[in-house]
Amino acid sequence: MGDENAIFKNGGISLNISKDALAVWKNHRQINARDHEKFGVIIGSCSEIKDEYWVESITTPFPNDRSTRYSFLLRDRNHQKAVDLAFVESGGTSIYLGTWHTHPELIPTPSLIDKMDWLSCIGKNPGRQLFFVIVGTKEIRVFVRTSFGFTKLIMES
Amino acid sequence: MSIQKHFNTFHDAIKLSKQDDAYKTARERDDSITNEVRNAFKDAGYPVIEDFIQGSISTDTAILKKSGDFDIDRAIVIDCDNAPDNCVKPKITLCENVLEKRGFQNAKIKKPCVTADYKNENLHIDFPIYRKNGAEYELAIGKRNADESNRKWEEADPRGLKDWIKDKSSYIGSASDKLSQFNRLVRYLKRWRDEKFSEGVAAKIHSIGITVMAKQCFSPSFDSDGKPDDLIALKTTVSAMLIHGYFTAKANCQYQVSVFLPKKPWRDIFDGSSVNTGTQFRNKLSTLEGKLQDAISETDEIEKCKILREVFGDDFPVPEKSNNSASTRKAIFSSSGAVGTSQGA
Repeated sequence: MGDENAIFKNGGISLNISKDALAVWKNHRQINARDHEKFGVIIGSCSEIKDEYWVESITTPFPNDRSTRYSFLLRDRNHQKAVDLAFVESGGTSIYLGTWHTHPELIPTPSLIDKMDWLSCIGKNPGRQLFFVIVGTKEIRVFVRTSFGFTKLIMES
Repeated sequence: MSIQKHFNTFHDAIKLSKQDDAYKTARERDDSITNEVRNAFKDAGYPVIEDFIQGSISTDTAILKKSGDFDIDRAIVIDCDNAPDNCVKPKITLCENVLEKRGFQNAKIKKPCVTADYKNENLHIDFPIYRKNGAEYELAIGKRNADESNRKWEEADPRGLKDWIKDKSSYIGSASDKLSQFNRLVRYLKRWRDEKFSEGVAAKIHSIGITVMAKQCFSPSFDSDGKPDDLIALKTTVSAMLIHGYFTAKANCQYQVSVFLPKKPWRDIFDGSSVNTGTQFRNKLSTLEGKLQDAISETDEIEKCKILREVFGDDFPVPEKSNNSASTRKAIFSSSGAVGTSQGA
């Protein structure tokens, strides 16, 4: 985790995660018993034919957000500001690509609340491919919505 | 990533504006000379009634020269009633009573102006001198020893020319964006000239000539989201310049160039220019048109930039290949996406 880019694939889609984003996730893992959940939004771009996606940067919790060891509420407007700034600076290629959060478990699985929230994120961004990342203490899992529900992407070795 | 981003970087690298520190230093020098000109002209009996900056700085089309030199065009205006009949007289006053006294070894009286060089500071100032009658300007034309038949107060319209270049009234919708695109195109063309012609020939392809041609042939280009596309705009503008009638075919595939000032005295900016200048100008402009078309047709971003660097020189950026794939054409979106609130457990 964190030394070089990681590529996750599923069907015709690939997600390339920068090593900088991986390093942030590594540092935010809930390793200690009292660590709260960490979370943020994913900012990135995609190829014109929308088969390759790149995670370019991620946000981390801001003061108006809330979290406990087993839950989080992302509500600080700075997340949207970061997305808007990247969008303008990139000339329209960098956009909101989804959310990430941590789980205090080795190999994370999404809860029902997670999945309900992801559906709500998709509803707010019709027509956009979104990615949802959960950072476990050992592994990172990336999920996308398919016709079979939420499916995890496979990390290329 | 769109090619426009690279044009923006290129433009930032070559543009010279009034806000630039380097230009401000040059202006301080210019202001101190202008004050002395005012005193000397007052003593000579033809006080300065106004002075203003003309030239590319005043029309937002100035570029940094590769040599690092700066040009300032400072118009000095005296009242027609006080102006001597011999229009060379004030030019001699400026040269001898101001510039030579200040130690300018190479102050020169040229036909349309007096020039002074600050060699150590790469600063070059031109002083055109006008007399003003009501709202009409007349420029002092003539070299130092010109006899009566070779010197005259010639009608001119320096402010009208400036307004004509900056005019945006004919641009439909987002006129300011179109004028900015025009200004960028002129800067690209000037850098192309400095890059592609020998110094001697480049000096004969006058900036005002390029500016007038580009203004008359300007074809703005914006995408459906209103974002500028300078590559397309430049290509269509150059194509129009080639067929507008500025180049007259002569024997042996040679060309004469001629571009008339759109304001008084309506003269040919390239008056007296050789067929060699006209032929090189026309042929290199045609090559430029082809290269721009190649860049438009090329789909790989890095290859596109390489073609444009060949045209504009090293200030045009070429991105490096990387595994976050700057070379892949990226989708451009109309909005950033909605974050809203999110929760999880």
